[in-house]
Amino acid sequence: MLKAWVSDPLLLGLAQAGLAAAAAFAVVLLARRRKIHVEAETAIAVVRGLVQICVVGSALVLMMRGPRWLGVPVLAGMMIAAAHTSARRAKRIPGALRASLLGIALGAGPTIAVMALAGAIGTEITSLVPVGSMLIANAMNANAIALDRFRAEVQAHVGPIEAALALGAAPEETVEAYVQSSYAASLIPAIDNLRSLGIVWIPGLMAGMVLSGSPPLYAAIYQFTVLAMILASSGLTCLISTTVIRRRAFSDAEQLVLRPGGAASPPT
Amino acid sequence: MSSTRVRRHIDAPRARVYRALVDPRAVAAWLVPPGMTSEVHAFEAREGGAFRISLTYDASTGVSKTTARSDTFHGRFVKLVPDEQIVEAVELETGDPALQGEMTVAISLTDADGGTDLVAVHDRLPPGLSPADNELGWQQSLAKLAALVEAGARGRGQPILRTEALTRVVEGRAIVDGISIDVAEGDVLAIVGPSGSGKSSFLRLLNRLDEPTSGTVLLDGRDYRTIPPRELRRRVGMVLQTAYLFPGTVAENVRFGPARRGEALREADVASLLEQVGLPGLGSRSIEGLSGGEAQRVALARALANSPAVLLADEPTSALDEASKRDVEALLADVVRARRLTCLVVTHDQAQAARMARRVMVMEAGRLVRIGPLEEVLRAQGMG
Repeated sequence: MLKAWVSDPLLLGLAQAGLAAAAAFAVVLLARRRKIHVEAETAIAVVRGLVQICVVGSALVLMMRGPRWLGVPVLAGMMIAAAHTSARRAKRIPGALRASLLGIALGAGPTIAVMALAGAIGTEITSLVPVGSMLIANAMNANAIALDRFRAEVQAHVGPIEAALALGAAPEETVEAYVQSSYAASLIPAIDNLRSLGIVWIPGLMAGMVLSGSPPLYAAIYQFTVLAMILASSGLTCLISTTVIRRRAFSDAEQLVLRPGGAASPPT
Repeated sequence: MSSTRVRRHIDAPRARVYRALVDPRAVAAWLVPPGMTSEVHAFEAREGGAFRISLTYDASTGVSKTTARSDTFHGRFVKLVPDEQIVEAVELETGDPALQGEMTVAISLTDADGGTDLVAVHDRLPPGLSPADNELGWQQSLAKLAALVEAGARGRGQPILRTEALTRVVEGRAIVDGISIDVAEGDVLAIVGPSGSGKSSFLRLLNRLDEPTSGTVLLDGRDYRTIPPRELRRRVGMVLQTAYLFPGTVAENVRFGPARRGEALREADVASLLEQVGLPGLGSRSIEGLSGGEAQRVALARALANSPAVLLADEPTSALDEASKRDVEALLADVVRARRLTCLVVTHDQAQAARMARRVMVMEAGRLVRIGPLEEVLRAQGMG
């Protein structure tokens, strides 16, 4: 209906965005009646999201005219930003940023490279950057889940961990079970996405391809390819980041430093 | 020296044993791997009297040195023997036809990290024992020997555990504040004080579960920061308020510590440990369904399986019901006594401290208020 009044596509987009933001604010106002106050946070997130995506949109316009190699530094920048974001989930773990960066770079990076070589991702910027960013974003989410879960598990099991340390166990070994459960937890979203593909949801990428005139079956298979890539890169990312973080929960003298309330000792 | 473990024993003719005493290079030739230093301790176990001679041989430099120390063994004072007389002394004994006791030479090998292994060389088996029919007994006699070597090497009066201005500061507050104490071998020290006084925090510094902000701990005279943490924690065992048993069977829990170093406890060892903690035959039981008291006994057996020289006990009975409280306390006291373990036990229970310990240390706000013999401290605290 909006189309009837607004003919310029950019203005049309802005109007649609405004409508969506208004819907979001309506929910916030509803939440307020339940005494849940997220107005400021939502306002900031809405404005921030809009500005960021507009900047990226404009940058894409510029990049489309740029050389192909430009995609690589762009993806690298995204990886750094993703590492920062997910490392915030594990602030208390020393070296979380490094582990996240290593995980995302070595997890998503090779997956993107292999898929680009196989031709599953086009090497032109308009294909490499959006699909690559999907892999990076999902790796970021999985990594955040893994680190957060690892932190929670370790902090909930200080007793058994220190009991094992006190018997002369290696630090890595004392948290092995928690590394495993964190890793498994981090893969749940990617696995569930694959499992429910087409039944619960028709992902945006496929929807977009169909809307822009691709054959639906091709779009469907491509969507599967992307989700499988997401599982691969998320899995690799978390495998690396949890392996790195495992030792970082301990000091050089093999003392558990990742404990509730920071570095404090338990009360006597 | 307290890391001494009997790794292997060698039966050798007496002549060869004496040769080892006379010429340490001969020992080096058949025992000492390159890069290790050896110290030879000789015993003559006749009539419970023993002398000790130390011969050192550095395999890397090929330099041998013979020292004899003034020492007591088996409670007797043994006169200092000057270096040049050692050979003579040994020859004198060799020539004595009345000498019927078995001769044992214990050689400790020290590597660059200071880790020590003990090799015992015998001219004959202790009476009534053969390696085939009683290996456990044989091992125990070697273990006893190892303890003697340690006691001798440590010399008189040197504490097994010493803290030097041990301090831990957390968020600007000194939760352990400049504590200096000495704990002699075989001593049982109770640490008492109001809750929050830093008792457990102090204990946690002793096996380096936490890092001291300043000060240090000497274990057998050696700064514990130079000992690899896992090795330190094997030698300084710990029993906590909660057992924290690992999923699996009782026996798997008991085997945990040695298995970390790639050592598999034998069935007989596990059985013996479980017997010592009053749980004979319980090895195959799952830890699910153990009572609190039983779990704590398993935790004790698990700590003992590492053969620690020092045992730290942090409120070992306070999570138990009244009945098992006394049982576990009595058991712990028995085990410590039987093994001549050096033990530091944190308790908020004055009566328990009095029952278990010979010495008491009182803490308040992270500081050492008083330390001394039980009666003295209780009197000074107005509790005697």
